[in-house]
Amino acid sequence: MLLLEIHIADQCYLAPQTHVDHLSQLLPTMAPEQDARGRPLIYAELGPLLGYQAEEKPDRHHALTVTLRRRTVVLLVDRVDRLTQPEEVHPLPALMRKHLARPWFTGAVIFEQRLLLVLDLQRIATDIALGVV
Amino acid sequence: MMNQNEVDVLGEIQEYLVVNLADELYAIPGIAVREVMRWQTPTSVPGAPAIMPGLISQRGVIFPVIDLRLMLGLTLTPSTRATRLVLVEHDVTRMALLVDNVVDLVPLTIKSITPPPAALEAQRVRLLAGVTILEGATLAVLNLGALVAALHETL
Repeated sequence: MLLLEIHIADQCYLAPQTHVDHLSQLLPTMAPEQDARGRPLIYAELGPLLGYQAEEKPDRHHALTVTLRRRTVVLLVDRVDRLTQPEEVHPLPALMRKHLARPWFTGAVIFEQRLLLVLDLQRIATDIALGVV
Repeated sequence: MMNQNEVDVLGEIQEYLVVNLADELYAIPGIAVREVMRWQTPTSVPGAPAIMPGLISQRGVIFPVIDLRLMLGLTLTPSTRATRLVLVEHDVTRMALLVDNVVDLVPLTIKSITPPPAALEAQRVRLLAGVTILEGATLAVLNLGALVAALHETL
């Protein structure tokens, strides 16, 4: 499975490439307001949703477009670096999974001696579109 | 050659890993202990309860870190060079128990472990198999089954 390496604050996450329809470097003046079907795009900063305080603006600002059945959500992150293909995605331990506030992680990966969480961007986008976060 | 009485006594002896939590001594059944690691900052999982400060990996296996001090309602202190993660496995549940210090591995006889004092808080009593005395100090023996059950409940 190909995973995007996503940086938010000083943390690194991974996310399946298949969850993302479009990746772009976003400039404030270039942000489109509607999707291809003319529906308003929903923009959301991923960092604060994961509990990070908004600090200085990053050098780059990447936008991950996730298309759902009825809405299109654009998730803003500090940057997306590269695609990786780890050997195995481990499920989160059941003990922790059941206590998470939101089921936003599909698992964890041990990659280059780091333990990285794998984000479920479609689930996150769905919660944003439904207005539950 | 040992007589039957000596064999019976040996059968009742089990090893326990003695650890410090706050200023108190706790014993973790040695049979469940897989490894003791130096403290490393775990990978934080957004939305996880404070009792689970994150995940660590050791030899390709992922363990949730459990802050025993919070489970037992004890005082939290910042991690130091003495802070350790005790990797345990109970039935199918693996976890890394955050402890302030590892003291020793000691043998205890089952008979020396008595029920916890009635005066102890219920939050602690439910996680204990009992208490005993080690070199004049009270040693609380953890019940890992009860700990796992408590962790599976709503925190």
